[in-house]
Amino acid sequence: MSYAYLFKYIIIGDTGVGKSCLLLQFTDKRFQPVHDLTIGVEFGARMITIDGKQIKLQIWDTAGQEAFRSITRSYYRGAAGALLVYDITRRDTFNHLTTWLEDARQHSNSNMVIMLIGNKSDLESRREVKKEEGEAFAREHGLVFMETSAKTAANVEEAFINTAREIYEKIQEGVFDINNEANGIKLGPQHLPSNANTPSGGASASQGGACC
Amino acid sequence: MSRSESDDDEFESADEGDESTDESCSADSEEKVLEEQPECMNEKEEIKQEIVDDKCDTPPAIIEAAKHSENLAIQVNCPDSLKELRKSEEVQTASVSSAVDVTVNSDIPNAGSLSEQKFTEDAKINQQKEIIPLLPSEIIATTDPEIESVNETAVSSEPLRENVIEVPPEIANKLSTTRTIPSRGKTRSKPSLGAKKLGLGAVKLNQTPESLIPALAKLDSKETSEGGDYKKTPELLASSSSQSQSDDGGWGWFAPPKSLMSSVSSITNTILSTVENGLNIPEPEDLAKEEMLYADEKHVEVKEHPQPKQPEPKQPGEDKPAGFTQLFGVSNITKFVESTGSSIFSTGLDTLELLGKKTINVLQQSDPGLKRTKAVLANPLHGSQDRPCLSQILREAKEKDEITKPESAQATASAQSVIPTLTSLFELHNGIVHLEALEMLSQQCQTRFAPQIRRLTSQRKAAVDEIAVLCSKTDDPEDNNCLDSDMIDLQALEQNLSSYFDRISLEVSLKKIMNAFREGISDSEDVDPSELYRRALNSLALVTSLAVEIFQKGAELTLMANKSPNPVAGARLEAETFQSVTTLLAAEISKLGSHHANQIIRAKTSDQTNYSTDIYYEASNCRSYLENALKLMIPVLQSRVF
Repeated sequence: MSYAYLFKYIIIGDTGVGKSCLLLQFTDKRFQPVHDLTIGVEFGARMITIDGKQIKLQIWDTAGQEAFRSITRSYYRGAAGALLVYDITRRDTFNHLTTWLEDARQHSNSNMVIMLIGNKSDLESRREVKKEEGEAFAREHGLVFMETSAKTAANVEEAFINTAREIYEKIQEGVFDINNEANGIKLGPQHLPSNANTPSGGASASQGGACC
Repeated sequence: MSRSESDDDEFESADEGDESTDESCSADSEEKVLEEQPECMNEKEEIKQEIVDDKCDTPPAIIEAAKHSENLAIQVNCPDSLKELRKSEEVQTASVSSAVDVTVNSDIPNAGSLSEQKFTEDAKINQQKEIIPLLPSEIIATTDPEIESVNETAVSSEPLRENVIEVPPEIANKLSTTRTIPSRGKTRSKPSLGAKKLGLGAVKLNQTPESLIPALAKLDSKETSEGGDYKKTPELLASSSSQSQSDDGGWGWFAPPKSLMSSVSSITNTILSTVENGLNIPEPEDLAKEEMLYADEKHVEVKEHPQPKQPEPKQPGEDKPAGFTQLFGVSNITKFVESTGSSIFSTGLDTLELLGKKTINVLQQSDPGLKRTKAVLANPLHGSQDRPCLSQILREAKEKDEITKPESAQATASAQSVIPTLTSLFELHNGIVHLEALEMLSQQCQTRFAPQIRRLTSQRKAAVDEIAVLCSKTDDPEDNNCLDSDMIDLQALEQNLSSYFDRISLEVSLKKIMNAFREGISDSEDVDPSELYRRALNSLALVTSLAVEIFQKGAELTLMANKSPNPVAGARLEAETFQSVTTLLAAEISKLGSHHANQIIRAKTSDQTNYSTDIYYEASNCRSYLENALKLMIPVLQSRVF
C-alpha cells in the first residue's frame, strides 16, 4: 500500500443526505439502501492516481446528527478536502449549508478544498433543490459543485477525484505546505524526492500570505 | 603536466604583450575541437573539448566587454558561449555528482529545464558580478583532464612553456606599475578586473544598459579574435602568483599550487552548481538593479582594495630565497582562494541558506526528525576521516532509493510473496486512523477543561488524578486469571465486554471484533509457515484495530452520554470500565498470538522458531496499541468529572 501522498477528506452535511452511502459507493462501489446511523466518525480509504502519482484518500465520514456536532467538529482539523453534502430532495438540507460551511471554515485550515455535493440526483421526480441553486451557492462561496447519486454512482468518483486534483494542484502551486500535517496531507512511503513536489521555501511564505 | 599547461596558458595570457603567442595556442586548441566535434558527437571527450572550447570563449567575451566598454557590462557575453557553458556545466554536475545536486535536482519540478534556466540566469549574474574569478578556476577544473586530450599532440604545449618563462618579468612590471598608479581603473581595466577577481565583490556597473548594446555588437564582430583576447581573463592568477614565477624562473614550481587550485576550483564548482541548481535564487534582474543602485559605492571599493591586496604577495617574495617560492605560491593562492571564497559566500549566503533548508526538508522526508541522519553524522565511532559527509549520505540515499524503487514495484506486483508489517496491516484495517481520531478527541477535551482544573473542588480534583493513574497502568496479563487457559472463550469474552459497557450504559457494537476473533482462532489448513505467519499478523492487526475502534467509539459515546447525577463516581466508574476492557482485550490478543504461534510450531518447519517468536513479539506490540488508546482516553474520562 505505497502511495506518494495521503489526503485527508471529511464528509459533512445533514443526517440522511447520503454521506456514508457516497463513501461506500466510492470505496466499495456498492450501494446500501439502508445504512446504520453513523456514530461519531467512520473511515474509508481508497487509492487514486493523479498525474501518475498514487494518492491515498483517507476519508472521515462524520455523523450528521445534531447531537454529534460538537464531536465531529473536532475531526475537521487537518483535513485537506471536504465534501459538503446536501440532499436535492430535501430543501432543509440545502438551507443548512451555510451553517455547515461556517463550521467547516472555522474548524479547519483555510486552504481546505470544499466540494459542494447535491446528492440523490437519481430522484429527479422528488427534487426540491434546483441544480442552478446549488451552482449559485457554490459560486457565491467559492466551492466546487457537483450533483451525484450514490445509488447510481453518477459523479461519485468524479467528486472525490476532482477534489483530490484540486488539492494536488494546490500542492503544486505551493499553497499547501506538505510538511505540515495539519494541512491534511502526508507524504507517503512512496514519495521520492525526485517527485519534485516539495514546495520551495517560498511556498510557506506564500501560504502565509494566503492566510492573511 | 597538462594542468600546468592550462594554467600557464592562463597566466601568460594575463600579459597583454603576449597576445600573439596566446592566440596561436588557443587557435590550436580551437582547431582541434573543430576537428573532433563532428567525429564523436556523443562521446565524452567531445563534450570535454567543448568545455575547453567554451571556457576559452567565455573569458574573451568578458575581456572584450571590459576592454571596450571600460566596465563589466558582462551581460554582453555572446549567447553561444553561454550555451556551451551550460553544456559544460551539465557535464560538470554529472561528473561531480554532488550530493546537493542530487537533492536539489530531485526537488525541483522539471529539474532539467529549471536548472538550465537557472544556469542561464546565473551565468549572467556571474558575469555581472564578482564571480568572474570563478571562471578561471572553473577552467582549471574542467580543463585539467580535458587538456590532456586536446594537447595530445603537444603542439600547443611547447609554446606555452616558453611563454611561461617569458611572462614573469612582465607581470612583475605590471604589478609594480599597478602599485604605483593607484587609480587607473578607468583607463586600464586590468587592475580593477584583478580586484574583482580577487573577490572583493567589487562590481563596476556604471554603464547604462544602452551602452551595452554597442559593446555587444563589438563583441560579435570580434569573435574571430576571441582566442587571443581571452587570455587576459586569468590575469589575476598570473598576478597573484607572478612573484613566485619570477623567482623560480620555471614552471615546475607550479605543481603544488595547482593541486590546491584544482581542489579549490572543485569546491567552487560544487558551490556554483549548487547555487545554480538551487531554488529561490534571487532574480538576476533584481541583483542587477541592486548593483546599479550601489554601483558608485562599489566602484570606490574597487579602487581602494587592489592596493592592499596586490602588493602584499610581492613583498615577502622579494626577501625570501627561491626555496620558499613554492610556499608563496601556495599562500598567494590561498589568499586568492580566501578572498574569492568570501565573495562567493557573502553574495551566495542567502542562497546557500535556502539550499540548506531545502536539504533538511529532503532529508526529513525519508528520515523524520533527522534522527538517523544525525546519528550517522555524529557517530563518535567514526573517526573524523571516516565520518561520511552529507553528500555521501544523500548519494547513498539516492542509490538506495533507486534500488528500492524496482523492489517496491515488484512488491506491488507480487504482493503475495511479501510479508507486510504489523504496522502496515494495522493501518490497512484503519487502526491508525482510529487512534488519530481518538487523539483529536483527547486533545480537544484536554484544551477544554485545562483552564477549569484549578477551580475544581478537591474531591473532583482527586477524581481527575485518580482517573489518570487508573488508565496509565494496565494489569499484566500474566497476573490475570484470564490466562488460565490458552483457549479463547469467545462467548465469555463477548459477555464480559458487553457487561462492562452495560455498566456505564454505552452501546458499543462488539459484532466486528467478535467476528475477527472468531476468524482468528479458526484452524487454518495451511501448512506453509510464511502463509501462517501472514495470517497471524493480519489477524492480530485486525483485532487490534477493532479494539482501538471500540475505544474511539467508546470515547465519542462517553462524551455524548448524559452525566450521572454523581459525576465523580460516574467518571471513576467509566475509567475503571475502560481499564478493565483494556486488560481483557490485551489478554485475549496475547492468547490469539499464542494460538497463531502454536499453529506455526505445529507446522514443524525449519523457520518456525523465528516466526513463532515474532508472533509473540507482535502480540505484545498490539497490547501497547491498546495501552496507548487507553491513555488517550484519560482526558475524555476526566472531562466527565467537570
